[in-house]
Amino acid sequence: MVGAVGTHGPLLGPGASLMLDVLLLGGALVLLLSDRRLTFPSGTVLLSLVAATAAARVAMADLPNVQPVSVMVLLAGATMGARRGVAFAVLVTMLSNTVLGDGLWTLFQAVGWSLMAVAGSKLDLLEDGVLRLGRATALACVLALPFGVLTTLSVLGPNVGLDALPALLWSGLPFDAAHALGNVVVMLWAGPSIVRWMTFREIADPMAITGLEADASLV
Amino acid sequence: MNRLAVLLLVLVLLPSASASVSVEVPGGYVSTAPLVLDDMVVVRSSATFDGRSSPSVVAYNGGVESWRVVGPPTVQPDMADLVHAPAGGAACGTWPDALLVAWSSGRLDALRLDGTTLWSVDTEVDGWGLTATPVLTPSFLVQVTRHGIEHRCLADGSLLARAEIGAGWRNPATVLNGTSYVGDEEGRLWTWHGGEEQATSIPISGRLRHAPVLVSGGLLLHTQDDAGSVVAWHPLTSNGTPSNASPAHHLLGGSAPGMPLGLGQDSALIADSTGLLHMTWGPEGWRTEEVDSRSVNGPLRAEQGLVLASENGPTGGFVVLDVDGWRAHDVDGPRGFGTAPPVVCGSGLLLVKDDGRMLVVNDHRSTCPLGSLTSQVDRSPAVWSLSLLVAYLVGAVAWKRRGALHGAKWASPFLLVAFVLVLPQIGMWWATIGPAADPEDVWDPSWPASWEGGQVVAFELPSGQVAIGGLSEAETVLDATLAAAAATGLTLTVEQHALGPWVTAVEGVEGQGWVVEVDGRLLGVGAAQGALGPEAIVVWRLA
Repeated sequence: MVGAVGTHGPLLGPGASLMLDVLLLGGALVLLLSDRRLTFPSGTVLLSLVAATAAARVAMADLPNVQPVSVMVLLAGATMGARRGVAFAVLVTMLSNTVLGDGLWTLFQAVGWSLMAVAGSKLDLLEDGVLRLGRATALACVLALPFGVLTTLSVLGPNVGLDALPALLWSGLPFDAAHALGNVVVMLWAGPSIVRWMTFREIADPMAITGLEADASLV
Repeated sequence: MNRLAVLLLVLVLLPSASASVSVEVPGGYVSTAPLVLDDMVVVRSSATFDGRSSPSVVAYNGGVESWRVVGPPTVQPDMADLVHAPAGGAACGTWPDALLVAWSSGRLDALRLDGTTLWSVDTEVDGWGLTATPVLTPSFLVQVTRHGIEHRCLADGSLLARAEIGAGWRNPATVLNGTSYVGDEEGRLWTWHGGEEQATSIPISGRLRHAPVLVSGGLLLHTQDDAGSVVAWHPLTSNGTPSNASPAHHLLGGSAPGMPLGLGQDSALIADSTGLLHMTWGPEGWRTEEVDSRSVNGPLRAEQGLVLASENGPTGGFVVLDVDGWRAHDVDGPRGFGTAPPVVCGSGLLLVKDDGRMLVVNDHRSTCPLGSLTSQVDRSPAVWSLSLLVAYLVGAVAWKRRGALHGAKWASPFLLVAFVLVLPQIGMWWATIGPAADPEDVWDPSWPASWEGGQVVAFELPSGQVAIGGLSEAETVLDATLAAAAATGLTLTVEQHALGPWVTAVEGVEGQGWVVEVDGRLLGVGAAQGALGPEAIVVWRLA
């Protein structure tokens, strides 16, 4: 994260901003719609979690770089797979940035969190559906730094050149540490619960549940 | 393991002992009483004699600084009280609620209650500018300037009338039936019948550094001379002109007289280095009663049946006396040199000393609009120390019971709290040890050589650079920035962010946001936390 308050990165004009939003939203929708295993109930759960995560990020905006999104996208990737995890990350970024501020940095944040979702899907964070808490916590802590580096790149532009990058990255390190520590807290306290929320169990046929057959025949 | 535990416990507890307990008004000396309004407290600090701090006016609302105005740089102390002008109207126009600020740099400002400028005018400067408190009348304000006395419109500050008088210092006027009375440093008492071209004067016994006090149809003056002070009474004639001093009412006083206070029609309270003296007028002379022996050199104030003053000395406290009976009240507040009298605030008293230490005492109903000043006290060292302690304790217990992960789970929230609280200090230190541009490259060859060795503030605007140096030394980046903007006439927009106030626009230019570098290093904390040394180059540039 950039340690200098007030540095946003290049602002986009209305047209460019619209194109970026279309690109991100379109990409997220393509990822979701192309997932043939996604059902209406599971999609509803996913979107509900998107909204809740975005709201939590906005609510925690006053805390320097402490937010629940990183842990949520990591576990979204672990429980729902990379495709849905990336869509989750992009949608949370877009939704929360409508309140916190939208610009080119939205793209960098979306990419950063998407990469976290992919990492979550690839690094065996679940064992028989149960969260491997130690491993997940360590990963959430470690990934804060590369996320900070990636989002710092968003401030490069006409007035901030590459020569300023080392100073920007250096000054952002304490805030990346806050991000990492925040991820540790969220993961340790809420990680197992988040996994339970995100692990959607499809019920294929309600008639398959014992006891309902008799009720159904009475109807 | 036990020894290690005890050692860790001690290391965690030690910082708790350093929790600060005093509140400091930013800037230099606080020589005048704070102004208490319905929902805010406003206090001014003057520049210091060595020029290290700029004068400022700060408003506090609910325990939080809500705005600050930095005055033009000067080394003269600001002795004029802040004056609240209620909304009103006159022939020259209408005005909203305003604060009148008379700066020793010569500028007279009317500020709206949100700190923005309603109007601003400059007056003459001869060593110093304005040191007299503005006086309000229903139609205009009366301002004593360095060499004159003026009537100004409260709507726009325009000059309505002026008369020349002798050079003065801390000499507000007394206005009675449209006639103004004011003394000067040359031993003269001036009378100006409102609107006339010239003022008339009579000789008095010394330098008059207070507004004349009306007692029994005459003017009480406590003048200062090289030997000490003299109390004199000048009866007013039927046309309001003061006559020569009454010999029967001549009294010698101590050194460094304060500003006397009229108590009713026939008596007054005077103060100097020998203490406070209650004087009751009689045809044959004064009847005097010593009511306090503490040295008071500033204003006396009466409020809610109390006489209030500041004892001026290295361990000086505050004088709080009942008007009836002169019973003294003990007030536990900051001690040291000071001239600003206490002010009633809510159910308590607001106390402040020269060095800016300010405190509310005895506000049992917590009705002072400043809020509990403990909310301004920096409790963070105690809080983060306690957080570390709790993290250690609960983490250790959890670890022992259910292993490392459980210990980390219970310790981590408290560690996070502690880290967030110290993050500004960490960020500041971190930025100073980080990579930076070569300091030699920061200096702009186009800057005057006289700026070297001091603080320089530069704004890189799209239209070019605006830089200023040679200002009074500022303690923080924000102070330096505000002072530079005031000196150069640039308009700044400062907004509150998570890390405190930050410049978001200069001359209306927002761009992609503003970043600030100090000696070539990007500031990693808020501008109010960024400390500056005596030599520093602050550069604001668009991101």
